[in-house]
Amino acid sequence: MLDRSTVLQSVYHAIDAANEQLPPQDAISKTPTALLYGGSGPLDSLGLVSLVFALENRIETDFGHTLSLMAESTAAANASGNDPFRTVETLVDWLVILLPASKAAA
Amino acid sequence: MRAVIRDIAAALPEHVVTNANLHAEHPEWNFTALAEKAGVTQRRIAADGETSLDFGERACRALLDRHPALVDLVDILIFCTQTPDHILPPNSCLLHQRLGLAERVAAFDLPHACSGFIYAISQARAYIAAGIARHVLIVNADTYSKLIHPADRSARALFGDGATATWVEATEEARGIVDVVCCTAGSLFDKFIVPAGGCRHPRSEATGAEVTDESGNVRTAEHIHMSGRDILAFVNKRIPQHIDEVLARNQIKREDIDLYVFHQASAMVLDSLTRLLRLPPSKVFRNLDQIGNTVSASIPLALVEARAGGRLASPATVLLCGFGAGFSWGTAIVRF
Repeated sequence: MLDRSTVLQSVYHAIDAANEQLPPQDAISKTPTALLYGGSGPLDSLGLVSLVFALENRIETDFGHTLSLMAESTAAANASGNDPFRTVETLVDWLVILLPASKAAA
Repeated sequence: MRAVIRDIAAALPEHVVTNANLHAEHPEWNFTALAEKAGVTQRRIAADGETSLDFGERACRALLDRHPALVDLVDILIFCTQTPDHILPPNSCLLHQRLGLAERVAAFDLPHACSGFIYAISQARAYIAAGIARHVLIVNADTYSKLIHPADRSARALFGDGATATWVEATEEARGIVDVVCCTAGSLFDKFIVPAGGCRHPRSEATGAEVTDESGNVRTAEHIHMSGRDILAFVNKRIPQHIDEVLARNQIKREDIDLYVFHQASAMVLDSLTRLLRLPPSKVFRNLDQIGNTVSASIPLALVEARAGGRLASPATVLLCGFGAGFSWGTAIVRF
């Protein structure tokens, strides 16, 4: 089982990288309940892509996984109707399950 | 009988639209992220009254200037475009007249987008292998700027207009087109679409109504609608797998390829493919910075630049891969 706090730190690092490209008023908060994408979340499609790319790079560095989070998250959203990128918390919940599964499949 | 890509010529619009131009027009657009993710600094845009047919003709004339005898040798003319002059007749017939080709020449259009070059060389190779043709002239030309709403940030940052003319010839040489595989996922037809203007939804007052999406992009039903997330997800999921399948059936390893020439979709797509396929960035050709995503002309335009830069010096094994609207994709392995 992956340590949830380790995954959360990776997500926060990715948020730091994504925020460098976002206008200050759209910056993502580093809190578990922070909204990300969809509904009243601050990210538009470009912001989402910035976060996804930052997170893919971070996960490769932190966990050694080469993943397409865009493909995996879109499939997950289509299958369940719940987008993993809704909030920081939903994203971490999803990654805690996805990362060990993708490692086992590799 | 093998088919070889003998030469390629290009034609681009003169008018340049830079990111600074777009920023001046739309100061509210976030160009920090946009420029990095698109990877485009400037693009060439057709003037009013200039069409894909005009650029296709210019590319052909540039090719014929280098090979004057070709005009009498052409057996088949394929015009690949999604922005034809008319619903009918096909652009290929109009170009046939403009170039003064013989009546014996078979001319047809191929209405594919970013996979269009791969589909076209697949057709050329098949005609040559069947002994039906020895010389095929392929035109890839599009003016997507005419299908993009001026306030559609995501599409305007990406696309540019342009054309190429490619001469494919029958050969006994060992080099040439080694393999081509073309694929389709029609279930994704609505992920990249111009919804209105065809027979299903003719233009009307309603189809001209502007709609703003959640990211602030403005469109009407007569403009390009792109679901960037779905497209990127599909490309990332399917294209690396497809490339490995094509390599495997030719007993070629990823590292045996000297140069990867992907459709120049955007920097983020090229970055993703490079990362997911674990390719050295030096083996992945890029030229979208100065011309943008030129749809089906992007791969042949990249080949023109790669050749000029000495990247196709014989013997070079090159993998070409195009993907886009349809959803449609294809991969070719070519020995130069």
